[in-house]
Amino acid sequence: MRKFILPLIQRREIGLIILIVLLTGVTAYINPSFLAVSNLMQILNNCAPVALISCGVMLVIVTAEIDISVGSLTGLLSAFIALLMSREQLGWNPFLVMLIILFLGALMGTVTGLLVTIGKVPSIIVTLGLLTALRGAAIKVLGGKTIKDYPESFRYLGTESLLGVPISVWIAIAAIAFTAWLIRWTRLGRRLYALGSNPQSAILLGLNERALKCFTFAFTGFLTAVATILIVAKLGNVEAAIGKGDELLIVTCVVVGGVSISGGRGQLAGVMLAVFLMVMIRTNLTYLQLGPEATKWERAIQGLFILAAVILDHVASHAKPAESEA
Amino acid sequence: MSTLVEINNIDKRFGGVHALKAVTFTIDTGEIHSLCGENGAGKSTLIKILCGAYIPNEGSITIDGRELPYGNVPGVGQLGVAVIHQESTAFLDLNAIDNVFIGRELRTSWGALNRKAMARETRELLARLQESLDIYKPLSQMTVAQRQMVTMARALAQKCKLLIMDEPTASLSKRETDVLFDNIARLKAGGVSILYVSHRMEEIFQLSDRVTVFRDGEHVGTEPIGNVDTQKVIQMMVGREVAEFTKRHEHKAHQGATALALDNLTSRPAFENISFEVKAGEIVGMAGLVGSGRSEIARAVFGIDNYQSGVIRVLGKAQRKGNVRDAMAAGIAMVPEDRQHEGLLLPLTVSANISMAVLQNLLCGPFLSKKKEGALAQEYIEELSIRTGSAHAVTSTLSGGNQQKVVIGKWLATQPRILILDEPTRGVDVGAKAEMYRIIRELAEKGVAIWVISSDMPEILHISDRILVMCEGRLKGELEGKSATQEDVMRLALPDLSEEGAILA
Amino acid sequence: MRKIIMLLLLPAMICLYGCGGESSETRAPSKESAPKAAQEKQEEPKAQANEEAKDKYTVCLLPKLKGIAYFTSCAEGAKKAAADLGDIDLIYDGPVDGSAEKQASMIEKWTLQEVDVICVSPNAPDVVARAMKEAREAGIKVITWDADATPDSRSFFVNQATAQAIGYGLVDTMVNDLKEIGVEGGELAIVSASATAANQNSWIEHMKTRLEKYPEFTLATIKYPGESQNKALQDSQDLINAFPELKGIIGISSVSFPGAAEAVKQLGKAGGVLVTGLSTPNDMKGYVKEGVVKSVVLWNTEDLGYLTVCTAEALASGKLEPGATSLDAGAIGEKKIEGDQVLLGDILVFNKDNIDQYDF
Repeated sequence: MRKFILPLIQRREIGLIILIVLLTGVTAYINPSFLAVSNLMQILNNCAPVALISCGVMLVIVTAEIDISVGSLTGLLSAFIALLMSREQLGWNPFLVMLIILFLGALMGTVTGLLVTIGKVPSIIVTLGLLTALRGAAIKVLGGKTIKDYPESFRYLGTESLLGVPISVWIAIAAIAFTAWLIRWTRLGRRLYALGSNPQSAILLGLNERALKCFTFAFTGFLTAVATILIVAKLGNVEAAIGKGDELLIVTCVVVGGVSISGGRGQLAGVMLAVFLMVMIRTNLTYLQLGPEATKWERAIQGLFILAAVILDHVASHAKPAESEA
Repeated sequence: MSTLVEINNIDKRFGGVHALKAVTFTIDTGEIHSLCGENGAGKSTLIKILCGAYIPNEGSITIDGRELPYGNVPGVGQLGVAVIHQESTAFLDLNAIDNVFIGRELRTSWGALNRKAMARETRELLARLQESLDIYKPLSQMTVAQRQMVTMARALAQKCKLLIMDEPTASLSKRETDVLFDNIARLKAGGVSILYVSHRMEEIFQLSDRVTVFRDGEHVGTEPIGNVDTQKVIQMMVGREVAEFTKRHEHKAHQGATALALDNLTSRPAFENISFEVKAGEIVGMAGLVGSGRSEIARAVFGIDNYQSGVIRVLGKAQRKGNVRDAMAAGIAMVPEDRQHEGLLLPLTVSANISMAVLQNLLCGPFLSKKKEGALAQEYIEELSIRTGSAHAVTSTLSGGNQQKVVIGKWLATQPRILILDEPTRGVDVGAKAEMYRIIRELAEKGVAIWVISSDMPEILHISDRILVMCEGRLKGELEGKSATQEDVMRLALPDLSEEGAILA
Repeated sequence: MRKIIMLLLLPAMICLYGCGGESSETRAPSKESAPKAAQEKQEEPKAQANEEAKDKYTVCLLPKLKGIAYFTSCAEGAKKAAADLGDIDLIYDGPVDGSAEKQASMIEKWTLQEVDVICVSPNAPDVVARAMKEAREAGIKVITWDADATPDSRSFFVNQATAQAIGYGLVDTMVNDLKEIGVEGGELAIVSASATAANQNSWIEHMKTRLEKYPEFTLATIKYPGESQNKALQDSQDLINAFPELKGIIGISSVSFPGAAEAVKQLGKAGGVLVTGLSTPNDMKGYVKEGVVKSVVLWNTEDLGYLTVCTAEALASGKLEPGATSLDAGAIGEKKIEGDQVLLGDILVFNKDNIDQYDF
């Protein structure tokens, strides 16, 4: 019996699923409308940008680096979207602007990667610098303004659904599927894990550390651009604080999802469950219909959930039977 | 036999250090060629050149007549050179399949990984090594020996012609070593040449066809194994006769009162019902296979780990469980097995490390007296003849043997009455070993009770007054240091399969 | 290599951090700029300003940022006051980049020119305070408007928006709008900034007090999305879904008001759930026209400029002494003074009938 169940809870995914089910159960008991399909779609819609960026940051962390500049990159890219696409501003073709933004995102990521690999500056320092630099640039680009008025064809990306599922969720699903394929079925994916697991050996085997790491940063930049497009399409307003603090949420999701911060280990499924849990908590708290006083505690409650997820995982991973002597 | 590898006049300098001086020798096809030398003799440098990590300043290396692409690791791999390093080069987070194929993954016609083919081939390779492990399990959940098998499977998959093995048995048990040797023999029969680097003389003589000895970057000689004996090889390595190394230690035990006594100490599953004594001035050796519970007992005695039942007495006084401070106050010192992680702070200076355990004695008011610290460090640098530029040199710059002496110095500074040494000479070269034995003996003569844990059989036989043999968490027997033979110890150390559940001898 | 890059990076980081800190503080709508920058005529101060006895006073009006519609609108009111009063030479000038250092140097320049009154809307009170105190020591009257500085650096603060006026105004506007469309009661929710934002918290307290007047409406909950418009949108959507009886959302930060409006629009609840809040008219014009938002609440910016100049004149001519309890502000009537604060009091409500008249 023990033998049967323990390997199951040892997987972080199970712990996260338990938490999600528990949270859903309690919320639905208090407010049954939580279970409405439209609400599920709403939550998934909220997850989409976070899930997109998490796919990239996860790969960065798998190679034992980190990227905490994604929130600010979102801010800067959204400022560019505003400047180029808004009918109050240049009013360029939305499709063209999106291509430019995707290119810029990937380019920014590549530059980060080059600074880390060729410049040999630790990624925490590079991206910490970029965290403030890119946000500062976003503020300068927008000049303190809020820019509105985007073409409807563009707004559809953030507001419309296809077959009952928001378009942004379809896009996120595509990105997740691609990342899963990358991890499991390509040389590149395997090599990222190898590099994070044992960098010296990986280099001795002739793996190209620079190219691999640059790829993860560029991939992150690209996905951040996709996420930014979805966020702006959904909001319809661009101001300089967009994406602020998202980097923390994303790193939290990746780590709670079971990716080792020292590299080499972690599953995409866990990360995506963690994204769902972390994004869902906010909605759950609203559905719990806490009064005007209690809502001040919401952030503390969110923090407790992060702790719970981590502790549950810790307990699960230590629940294995005492190893017999080899 | 044809020549596979020709090493011709290889010269390598690092700044002012001349690491290899015009080294020339050959390795034949299907030969097991041992490479010996003290630490710093240039073995690692040669290995790194051979695997493509370093570029030599002069000279040439050819494999099958083709020149090695120096400094190009994948290129060297394609020529058929594979390395099993001393430190684990395996990817612990990845499974066996990925470990075997990383860097040369098999792909289907449309570019995705061909996982099926890789799994099949991994199984076949492991089957050739007569190993049947779960290929989907990450290596972190395997034993060191299993990891090595995976690394060897990787070498096989590369169709390697030359396999370089750097201290492969350092953390293997006897049984695992035997399996490894069988596999080495199998590779040899398949026409693979092996360059085998080890400090263990018995292994070299058991395996090799020829042996090459380096000293201070120079090639001292290459001899067919039949032409030399241990004595001769050691002489070539150190450049002088090391008589005392092979001679049985003859110290007259002027033993005093019982310093340390264990009474039915139990901590399942590591060890059970352990009772023994160590007297002042006595050297007690503890032998046994890796994993037989020796280090765990030492950790319990020193108060690092807790235990379930039993009593530890120091000079007749029962000790509290799991309290390192108490253990230190009672006069116990322990030099741990893993000196880099447990015993030393490598980025700090020699004097900082030596003074670490006795800082309270070096205070001048509330401040640490640098003068006292320096004097203390100097005292032990001299007493243990630690080879360091100064007391203020950073410890990581010292050689393995000298680092080990720093750890010992740190504990001697506490003026211990009981000294526990766990694998005191692992990774230490022959010259440093002899010196270590001298230090241990001198300490015993001063009345310190010494308990040495070692997997090195000649070491145990050489140094101990009494030998305790552990097997699977139990104290299997005790032997007289003077009369015991390697065979006696081995017989006790191996699990007795015929008598089921053999208990204390 | 590594060190060089670090050295290059460090000043960049410090410099940009400075920028970031300045521009990212929690904003009340007054700091918001509008997209269209109206060109302001530069009026050179007259060197001989103080020579001609005391029948003309030189009043300097220093905005946080010159060229944005909000302050331009204030300046319009100030000019009107100068014309009405007749004894004022008005100088309207300020930095175009929102720099507090430039504000300080302008104050220093005016001090040397011995103008009569300097009215400051400080970007960073601690940076500007020294120059303001020096001006006072030189005998110049200094007041603050739109934003306050330390009390010892000015004599009066022309306060455009008391927490009470805003809190009451928001609740009254929301209830009136709801009653107009025939909603006689139900739940309301507030979407604030972060739970630690002091301005927002004091407005919330006054809103709660005011709501006691309308027992048929109850405050269901308050959400704190922080600075993120994305979260404000998300929270508002959740509020609408989770509280079926919700009739109105009041958004009281520069991100939560548009966030709430966007949520109502996307869920197709326009007319079912009303949104109101504090904002400059331009930011919400689209939502007002689409019918998602009925009313936008702000203080009257022209009146703010008008009152500031009136205060300056009264101070310069000696009509206003410390301890006064009211001030006659001509065309905009009698205004209350509490302590050293001149209160503008009333709020301005923009709706689809009048919002096009404002461009800031």
